[in-house]
Amino acid sequence: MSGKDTGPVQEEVAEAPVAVFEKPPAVIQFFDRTEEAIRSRLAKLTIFQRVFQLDRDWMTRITMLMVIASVFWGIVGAVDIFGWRTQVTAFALGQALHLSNQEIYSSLTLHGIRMLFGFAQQLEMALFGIIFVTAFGLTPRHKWAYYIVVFLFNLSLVLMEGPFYLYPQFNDNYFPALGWYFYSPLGIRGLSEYVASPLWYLGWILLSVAVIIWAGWMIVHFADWYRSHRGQVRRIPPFALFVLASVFLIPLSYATVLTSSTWDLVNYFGFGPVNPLVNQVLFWFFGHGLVYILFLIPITAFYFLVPIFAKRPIYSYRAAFAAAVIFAILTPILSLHHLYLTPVPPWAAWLTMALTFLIIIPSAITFFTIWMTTKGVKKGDWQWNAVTLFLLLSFAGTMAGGLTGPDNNTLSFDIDLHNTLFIVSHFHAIALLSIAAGGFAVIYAAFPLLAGRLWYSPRLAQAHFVSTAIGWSGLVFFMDLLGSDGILRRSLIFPLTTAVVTDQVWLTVFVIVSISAQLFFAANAVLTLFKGELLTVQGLSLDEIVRKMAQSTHPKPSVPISDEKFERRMPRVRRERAERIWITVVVVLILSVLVATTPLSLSDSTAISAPADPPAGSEFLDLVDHQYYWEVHESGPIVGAFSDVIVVHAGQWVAVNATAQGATGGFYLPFRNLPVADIQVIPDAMSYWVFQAPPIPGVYAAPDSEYNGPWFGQDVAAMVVLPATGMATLAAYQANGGEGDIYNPVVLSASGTTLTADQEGLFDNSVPGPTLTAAPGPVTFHYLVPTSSIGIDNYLVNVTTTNPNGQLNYVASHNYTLPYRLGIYAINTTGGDLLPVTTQPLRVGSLLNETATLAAGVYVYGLVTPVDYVYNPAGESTWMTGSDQGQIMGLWGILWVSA
Amino acid sequence: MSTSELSRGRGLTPFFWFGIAILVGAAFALFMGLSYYNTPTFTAAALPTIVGVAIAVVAFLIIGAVAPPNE
Repeated sequence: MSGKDTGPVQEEVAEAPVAVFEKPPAVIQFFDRTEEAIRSRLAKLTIFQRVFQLDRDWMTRITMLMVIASVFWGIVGAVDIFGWRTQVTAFALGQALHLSNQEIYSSLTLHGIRMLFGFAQQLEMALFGIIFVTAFGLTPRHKWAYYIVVFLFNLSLVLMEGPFYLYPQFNDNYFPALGWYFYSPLGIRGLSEYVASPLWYLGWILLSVAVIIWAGWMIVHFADWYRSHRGQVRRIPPFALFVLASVFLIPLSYATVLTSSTWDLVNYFGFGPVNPLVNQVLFWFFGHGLVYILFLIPITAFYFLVPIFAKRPIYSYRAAFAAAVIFAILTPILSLHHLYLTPVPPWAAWLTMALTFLIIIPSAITFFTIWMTTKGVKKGDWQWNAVTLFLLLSFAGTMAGGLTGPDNNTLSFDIDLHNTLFIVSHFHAIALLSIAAGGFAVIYAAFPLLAGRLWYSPRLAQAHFVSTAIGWSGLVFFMDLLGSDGILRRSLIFPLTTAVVTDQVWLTVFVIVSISAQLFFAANAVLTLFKGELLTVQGLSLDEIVRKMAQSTHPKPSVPISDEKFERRMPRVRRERAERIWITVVVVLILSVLVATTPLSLSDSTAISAPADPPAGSEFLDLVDHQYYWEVHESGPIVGAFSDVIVVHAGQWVAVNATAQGATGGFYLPFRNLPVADIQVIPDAMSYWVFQAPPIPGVYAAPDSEYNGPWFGQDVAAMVVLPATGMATLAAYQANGGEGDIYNPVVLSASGTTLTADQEGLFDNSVPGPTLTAAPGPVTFHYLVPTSSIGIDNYLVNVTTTNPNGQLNYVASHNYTLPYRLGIYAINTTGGDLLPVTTQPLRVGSLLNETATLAAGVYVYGLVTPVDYVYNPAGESTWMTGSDQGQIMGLWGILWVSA
Repeated sequence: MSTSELSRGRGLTPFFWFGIAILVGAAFALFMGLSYYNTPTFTAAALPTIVGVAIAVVAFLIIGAVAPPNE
């Protein structure tokens, strides 16, 4: 930071501009002296010196700190998902859940936050920073700006975690349960039933500021290089084009989430206009930008590493340049493809669809260019070490994840996919098999440079690769299987069919394999720091250094690391002709697919965004998705007001007007034999849809598809499809498989059935509960709400406590009777509420008989109105911790009485 | 021939293996999309995109196979 005014800026390579001051400001000098005092003391301890590289230059030290911090957040993020998976698996296997819904969804939320930002974004910043500075031969400056970035970045993650109490007792129940992408107004005080801590929004603001400062730091150093290399822009290495693309994208993307989070915080304290849809559009300008910012990790890895190991330049520099430019131009404007099923203007949705198809082009260019870079490399000249193996995995993974991108992007297809685990499979294929695999390639190639030592154990590196590839591939595969069945993302409550349970268990197994696989890497990294052979780089080029570092991951390296003289024999014209032919094919295919998919996509988008003119005889549904039940008002041939029940006739056209209160929801009918219905419903906005009810009478489940808070799983409506006349049995419905709606409840004969409540407050782990059938006349079945179902946050008991016996103590002190009534209620299709036939108090621990003489028709049984529930463990909810409440309806089902 | 020379002679080229990687990844992606084959809107909503992706993969491999090497 110090320097003298030596006159005009020198034109030599890698000379930084002369500092204005003769020496740094006093405060900087103070920080420098303090840092040096701490560093020199700690450096005397081997463990600190080795782990944090305290005897190295400041850039290496801070990069190492970022790498360690990213690994830390990655480990914690892995523990988070382990927590989520154990609870999901427990539900699948009928075992007790040990965490509250809030804790479970906090695990999922923080998994996303810590993996995307703490791990991936921080690692990208660390590696891009050091590689950029090293490859360009720059002298890094503005040390304290970089230090502030690291401090703010990691502080933001701590803030996002939310508050916890140490006194009077440890209470960590206020971690955010929003999901990593948080749709306004979920979490906002005064607007949402579930309220996050304001620290969440503050954390997002700090995160954005930190990352934008980092981008500014990179731009300053690129400007240094550019000023000293004026007129030589063409000589920017290909990989650096993509580093620069990420530096360009970061301020554009993070500025939008900075805006939306600030807006959220302003709303949180009761100020400012509220417009959830606009806020969500803003957020997704960031959300999509983030995906490509992180996707540039493997892209950069390919452009950096493949030429090094191929020992020849990239196939076409111009193609790489074009790819970088197109990525940078298109990425910031694709927000709406995350919001296709919201009432955005159809022209905007279609335009985004078209632009999103176009962003295939730079990926197509990249993968062709990279693949062709290896063409002509002899098998004996290419070393399969950990670096190149992870590059290969990333190549395959990008295909696996990236080629499902067009599926998601096709609006009419997105209706089938949206919010299912198909989407989660897609982005985990990208996040793990593409981004993380590419990241590991860079780590294996660059870590020895940071540590000053070669990798200690090639065998550990190989074991890491094999186990990671197996774990990640299995994880993605089973997510896809669940998704294509229609299982929703963020689903803690799901149908317990054999296939779903099996897939959930295998998914957990592969998550465990994936997490365990990283132990090989961690062990190797630690051993490297303390026992690795010293890395000597004297006389080696950067490429030779990278090869040398990578070779230490191979037990018997056979390919020389030395650079080889390369004489270009294939003219650029011929190589670029191949690129042009390929891109022409891609463009033609994109246009063809766009033409073919436009009519239905435009039609679907129009149907969501504006009311249609349905056929005569249609049923009109006004739906409001609350936290956590559907308020239903019907008009048309059937008139009624219900909670979580929709009543239509078989084959009838149904026109939906839907909105939400407190949080975004999703109206979702996951048919397989009929077209899927899947629309987002947003507070202060209206979504529409017209569909034809199933032709076969029965009970069809409509789970809320968009996460809206910790009792999201209970937010399920039942669509009761009545026969046009009379009252048919459910035989045809069962033979038909319920039109393939996987969420349909099982059908049981009422006679002899005991409906047993679980700790989520559901009958038989299902919402709606099992559909009971009976013949007209006397009908008898039983309820049982066992004491074992009363736990720590069963919504039926409006007591929350960290005492595991707290709820049960409350029940016992109230004579095992809860202030609700179970009953049988007739559905009145001519107006008014449900008509009670018989009711009784809800008693815990006793077998309750339900007996009534019923005429043919459809009834609702159980607890048919939402229950007010306040989640307030230890009574410590405050404006700083957030709060959590809702109206939950889970202990109910449909009774179908027919001859 | 030395051991290292023997080991350098074994195996297939990296171009081949990256081509296999493309095939494996693409096959999985197509499998994911085709799992919706039995939905009534598949032909209109999904098939054009899936066919487009499949053709792109085939074209990629053919063009890459006949394109001049990186020499």
